Amino acid sequence: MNRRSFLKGGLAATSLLAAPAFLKQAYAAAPVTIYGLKSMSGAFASYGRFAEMGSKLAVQDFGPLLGAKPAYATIDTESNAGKAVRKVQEAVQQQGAVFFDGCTLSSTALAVGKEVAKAGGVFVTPAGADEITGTDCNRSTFRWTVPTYGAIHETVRPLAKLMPKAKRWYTITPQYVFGEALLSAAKDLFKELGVEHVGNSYHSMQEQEFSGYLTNAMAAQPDVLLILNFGGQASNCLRQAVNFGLKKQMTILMAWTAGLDQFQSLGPDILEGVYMGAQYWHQVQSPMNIELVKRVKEVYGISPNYPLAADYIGTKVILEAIKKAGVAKGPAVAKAMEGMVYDGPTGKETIRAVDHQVIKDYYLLKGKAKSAMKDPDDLATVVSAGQSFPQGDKILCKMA
Amino acid sequence: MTDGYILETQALALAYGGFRAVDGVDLKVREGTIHSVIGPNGAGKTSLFHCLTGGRRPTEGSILFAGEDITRRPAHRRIGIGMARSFQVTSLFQNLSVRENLRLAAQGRDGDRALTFWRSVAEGKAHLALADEVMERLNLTARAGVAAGDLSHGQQRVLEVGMALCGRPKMLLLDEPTSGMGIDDIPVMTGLISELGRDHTVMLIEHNMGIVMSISHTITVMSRGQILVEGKPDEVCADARVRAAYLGEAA
Amino acid sequence: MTAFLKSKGIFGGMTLAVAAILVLLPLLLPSATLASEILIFAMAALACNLLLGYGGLLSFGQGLFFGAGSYLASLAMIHGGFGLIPALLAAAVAGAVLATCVGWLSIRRAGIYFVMLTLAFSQMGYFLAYTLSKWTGGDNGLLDVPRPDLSLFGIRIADLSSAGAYYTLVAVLFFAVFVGARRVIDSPFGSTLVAIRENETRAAAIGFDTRHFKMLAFTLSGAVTALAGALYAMLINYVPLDNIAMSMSENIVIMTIIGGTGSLLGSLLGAGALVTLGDILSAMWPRWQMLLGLALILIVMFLRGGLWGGVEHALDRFLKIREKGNAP
Repeated sequence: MNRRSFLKGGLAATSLLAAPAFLKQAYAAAPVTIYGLKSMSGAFASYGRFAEMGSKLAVQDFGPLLGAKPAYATIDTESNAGKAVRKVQEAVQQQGAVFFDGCTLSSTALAVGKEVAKAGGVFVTPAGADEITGTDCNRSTFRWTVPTYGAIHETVRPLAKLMPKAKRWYTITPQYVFGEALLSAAKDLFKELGVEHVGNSYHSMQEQEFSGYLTNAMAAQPDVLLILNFGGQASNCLRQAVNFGLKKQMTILMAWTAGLDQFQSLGPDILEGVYMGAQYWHQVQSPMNIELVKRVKEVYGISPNYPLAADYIGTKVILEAIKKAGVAKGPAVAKAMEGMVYDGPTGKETIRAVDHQVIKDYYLLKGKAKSAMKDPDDLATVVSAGQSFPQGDKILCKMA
Repeated sequence: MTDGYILETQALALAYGGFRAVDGVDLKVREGTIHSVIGPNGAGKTSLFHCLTGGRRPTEGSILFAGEDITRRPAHRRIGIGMARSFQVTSLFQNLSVRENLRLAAQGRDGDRALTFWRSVAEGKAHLALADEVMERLNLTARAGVAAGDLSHGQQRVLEVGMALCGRPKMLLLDEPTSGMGIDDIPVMTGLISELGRDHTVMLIEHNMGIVMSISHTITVMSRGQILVEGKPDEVCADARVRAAYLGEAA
Repeated sequence: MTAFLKSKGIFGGMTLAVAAILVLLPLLLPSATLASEILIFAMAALACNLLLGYGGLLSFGQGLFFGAGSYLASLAMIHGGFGLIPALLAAAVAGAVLATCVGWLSIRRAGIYFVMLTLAFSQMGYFLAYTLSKWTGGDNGLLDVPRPDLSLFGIRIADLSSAGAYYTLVAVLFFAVFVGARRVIDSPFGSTLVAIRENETRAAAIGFDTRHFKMLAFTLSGAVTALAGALYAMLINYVPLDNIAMSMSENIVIMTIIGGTGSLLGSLLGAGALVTLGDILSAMWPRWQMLLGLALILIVMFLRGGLWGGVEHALDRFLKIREKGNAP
């Protein structure tokens, strides 16, 4: 058989014959299991890697649960919302999956939340969209991260207090639902603080080139530049701002960052003097966090970053709730989670019953100079921490 | 149709910028004749052909076919009125069988009526019958299932003519049908064209004087975008201006 | 074997093979949901192949029709109270209309310009969906898409909430589309489309207005792709923005090429390969998409007929060997 025929036959055979065997193995079921929805491949693979580490560690370190060691299974969302939903559907139908943790993208989290709610399961997510514990809340979904209201209030307010003379603020906003939410919260707070909103630049989700917007910002001569995008866009925006020398002309505040992982990619030269909002910081001296840092150093040899910590605590909370409820059934565990108070990475954290939002601190950090760093991860100091969440009739969640 | 002319052009011109490839041509083709257009290279035969087949829009003048003005008609709408063409550079459906090539040509008469995506091809019995008939006439029945690209060059040139024939035209416009054909194959083409001339009007562009002289009823000689001489083969042969045009080109 | 598959009569030959595959698929695969997803994308690949394999038109805008079908069917059900069949019909009609418009504008140019135009329209659709977030949910996607019962003239026929029941609907529709596609290919229209692909100048010379045929190809392709989009929305009860993104157009084209553009069966293989490979490999290696890229390169370079070409070749050889073995 010549090489050509072999290649032809081989390629075809591989796809057809090997498939069923591999598939059966890939989908093999497991005992009482936490299903981790992680973006292991695709655009958000780097995030998923750490998230996976967090969930795995939480399950690994948990003692016996209802008589047996809890298990963990990964569902790769492939950074694709449609795939994630289909895989959740399958896990529920084929393996009777009940407990889910994870999701990087808000769109994925929202859709998965609906799917899990249909199945009466439990889903804890660190995704950012307000709707998760707002208009699209449901009995099964719980969210660990602080949404837009808190992200703005716990950064803008303390910074305004620190810099009472800073009256002119300029914003750069990604033009989509999440960005609009951050901007709207910021504008309300500006009014309250008597601060002037001297201008805003909208940009698309695809934007990588911010020089135009930064030039507009410079022209408006603000005291503070408030950056409301996130992830790769925020990193690019900040890098370009620093390259333009903006740090010398104004103070920069990034309201929504991904913490240590993002800071490491930016480095102290960019970060020095920049204010950043964060959901988690490894240097916070809460009892649980001290333990977590120690354990993560032992097992993985790194300092825990935000995705790791978020999915660690999300998973741990589910396990604790199952223990508390005494039974591995969705509705009972969800009930046990409502109102639950526990030691989290930010200190004492509470799961608010009305909207399943975890009430926790959000941090305002300031980037440190290279010379001041005590170790490679010592990239920022905590300037302030606090809890700000919509209250009373500002809570948009109406659970059935 | 005036005086038995099926095709007439009036002051036809095709200019490419400043260059007039066709420069005021009044061509008249009598119905039922074999009419050849010859001339040295650059005489404008090909450009004239483009205008007649709808490949290019003339910049001036008009074309009348069976009394109708077809000057602006696009190429795909010439079959419908009875004009079919073949290509100088073989342009067949190389990967399709001989039979399918001819069947498609027959189907071409349907034009937009072939947009029926819910019918089966097999229902078009008339097209299949015509294809078989033409195949027989071309002596290609034995090669019915062969891909057009696998035929010999001579057979491909014959098939080219066959494709035009399937359009059931009143007039065939053949562009150098013997182009590239070997000595042995040319008589086949000659025989085919004279046979076609019995029930069609045929217009030929040709370089092969043998064919032109032996089967044409009328010959038009072109030079520099205009008609130089027109008449019966012996008249044209004897004309000094024709000789000069050809010799002048060769010099 | 291949002669049998190509046997005339749209219900014979490969149609029988497809029917067998449709019955076996949910049994061979871990779940009916996965099987449904494969068929949905096979439908989109089939529609893409009508344009690419048979029409010679490379459209990078199929995601536009897929997404439009998803959104329109969902919005019709959510805001218009449409039932299942009306919603699917509405999606198909919308896809046909949209494709006709896009086709009409794109086929004015040939070759690379045509491809770029289809790409541009697809991007326009994406940004429209992103901007009209009040209707489409924007980046968050359209949530709470229902999966209504199957009913005809007000009489409830079946509850489709189980994976198996929904697979049955998807399989029946896929079968109908497959048979329809066979008919289209074996019709005067189909044969003309092939002629246009083979030699457009000649096709025009023998009397065909090539623009009309290309446009009809677009219309049919758009209708089927939109139908697939609508079925996908109902499968996951959700319309992610990605449905209308460039990545969807890319995936559909890749599936079509990998599966093989020479035969309708290629669409099943291509969709099956892409969807399941994604599932299997992503569990093993985060960089699995590299393997996909490699597979695409290998297939385009060495396996012209795609996976189906390879299977056909292997089957032919196998049968020849058996024949030789049986000879005295």
